[in-house]
Order: sequence, then structure tokens, then C-alpha cells
Amino acid sequence: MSDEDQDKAQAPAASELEDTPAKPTARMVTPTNRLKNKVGGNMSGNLPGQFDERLIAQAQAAVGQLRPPYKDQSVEDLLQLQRLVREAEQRNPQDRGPQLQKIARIALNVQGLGDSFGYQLMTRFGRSLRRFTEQLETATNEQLLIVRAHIDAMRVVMTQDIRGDGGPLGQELTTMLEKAIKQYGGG
Amino acid sequence: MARTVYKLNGVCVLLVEDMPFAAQLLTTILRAMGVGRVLHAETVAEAKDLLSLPPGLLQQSGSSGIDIVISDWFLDGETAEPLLTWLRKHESEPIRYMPFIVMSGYAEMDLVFKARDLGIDEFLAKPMSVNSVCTRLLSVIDQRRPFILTEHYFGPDRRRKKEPFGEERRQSEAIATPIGEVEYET
Repeated sequence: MSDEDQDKAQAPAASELEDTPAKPTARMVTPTNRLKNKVGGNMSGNLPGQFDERLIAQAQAAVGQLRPPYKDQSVEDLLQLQRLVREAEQRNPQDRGPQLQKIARIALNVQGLGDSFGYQLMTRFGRSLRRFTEQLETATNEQLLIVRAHIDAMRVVMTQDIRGDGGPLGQELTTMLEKAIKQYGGG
Repeated sequence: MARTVYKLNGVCVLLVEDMPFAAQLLTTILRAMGVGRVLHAETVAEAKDLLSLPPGLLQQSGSSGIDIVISDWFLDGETAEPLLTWLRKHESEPIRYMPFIVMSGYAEMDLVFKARDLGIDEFLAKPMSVNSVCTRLLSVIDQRRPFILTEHYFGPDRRRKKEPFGEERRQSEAIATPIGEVEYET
């Protein structure tokens, strides 16, 4: 019996997955591990394998080579954030929702990339900006100042090429943002 | 006994990511790790189109169809949820049981649990590293969990420990057991 036939013999049909009537018990299916077979894994003993250490080192080097384009991407993200804040400032506080959503989306991207290239503070400030803006549907001018403070902090990180936790300066920037959010975050 | 060194040159990964640089980063890692083919979709619709191609069309580079989906959760104006539910209800067994890794910078518990309850295999928190990508890949290769079909769920067993199978135990642990080894943001 082929792998696919074996799967079919025990697999729930697609129709069973739609509008499944209430059942008192669960069914367990163990599909054939085609992927393990494909990568040359030991199927009989179910032994774990590993990746070639040289390839892992190669991948890490390849990520390192992406650092210059990462910096370009960060500059683009910061410029876009600045543009969105300016747009928001020109609107009434209750009409700033679309800009805030876009800011939160870019902040998520900044958060998701920074530490891949050693820029922990970009991840930290991106996360802080994302959390701050994703909860807002409107924004006061003070709240937009907090957004600006995040952008300024991220610009310092990139212009001074601060990697890791940034030491005392990193802590100072983090504390500054936390205080600003505490003081003015509520609008 | 020495561990088998896996070769990924025959593997085809479908990457679903709307952010170009994030896609470039993961593609770079996967290619450097020797993955034979990395297909890229920016939307759920594009991903479905690629998954729906006849396998024969994807047999270049030693690959035979898509083997793993790695998708960002938040795509432009949508989430990966419709892709995941479509995949887990697909009539084709290879697609229905396909390893599905969700990635996101938003690694808070609500999302991780939601994705788990929709049938993902692994959660890859961003920022990713070569090691975190390798760990998730090894997990779907070596620790593939059996699939569970209940009234409300179809997907990999949400319990990580190998314990006796029983509905009562399942229900009590389904809530308590996180997926993978994600470091949640709190």
C-alpha cells in the first residue's frame, strides 16, 4: 500500500470536516511523514536528525550580509512613520484612526526584523509603538508626540548603529518612552 | 549512533509574506540551508493558487509539490486564518496534512492559542533567527504530531506530551498546553 493509500485508509474525508455532527469521541490519525522521508530521515527508528552545521553557519553569514539592506529598509520604515504622523497631525483627533492602524502595522514590521540583525532596541521600540498605537482609534496631539518620540528613539538607534541592548543609552531611551506613555498615553 | 544529517534540496517551501524584506530574509535563510525551492505568495489567494497547482507543475529542482507552508499571520488587510482553515479542510490529503508554520512579530498568547486552535504545527516568533527557523523545521520533520478530529477541531494534536489518548483528558489539556516553545509576550 502506498503512503497516500495508507493515509486515505485512516483519514477523515473532507466532507467529515464540514458540518461535522456532534461526536462523543475524537479520532486520531497519524499521517505518513512524507517530509521526513524526503529529507532522508530514519523512518524505522523514528530517530531525530539534524542539519549540516556548515549550512547553518552559511545561513548565519547570509543573514549578516543582509544587514546593509536591512538598514535601508529601516530608513524607509522610519520615513513612512514620519509621513503618517504628519498626516495624522493634519486631521482631527477623531479622524486619525487610519494613520494609527498603518503606524501599528509598520511598527509590527520594525519589531519583527530588528533583532534578526542584532538591533534589539528596534524590536523593543517597535513593539512598544505597536502596542501603543494598536489600541488607539483616535489620538490626541499628546499621543502623537509619543509616536514621534518612538520614531526619534528608533532614529537614534539606526544613526548611531546601536546593536544589542544599547547599554546605558538604550536604557535611557527605553525609560524615556515608558515615562512618556505613562504620563501622556491616556490622552 | 550518529544522527542523520537532513538534506533539504528536495523540499519545496511555500512562504506567505506580504512584507518584501521579511520575505527576503526567510528566503535567504531557507536557501542557505539548502531548501530546493522557495515559492512566495503575498496574499491568501496567491497561496491557494500555488497550493492548487497540479504537483507535476512543481517538479523542477527535485521538488515534487509543496511540502511546508510558512505564513505570516498578519498579511496586507487580512490574516492567514482563511488559508489555514481552507488547507485543513482540503479534499487532498497531502494538502490537508501539510505542515503549517505561522510566524508573527505579534507573539502574544491570544494569537498563539488562536493559531493553535485552528490547526497550526508550529509558531515562529519574529524576530526570527537561523536557529529558530531550524528548530521549527526540525520539529515538523521529527516531531510531527498525530492529527485529531473532533467536533470542533481538526489539526495536529495540541498536546505535546505523549500521554494516553482520551476525550476527557484532551479537553482539560487543550486549554492548558501551549504550542511549541514560543516565548510569549506578556
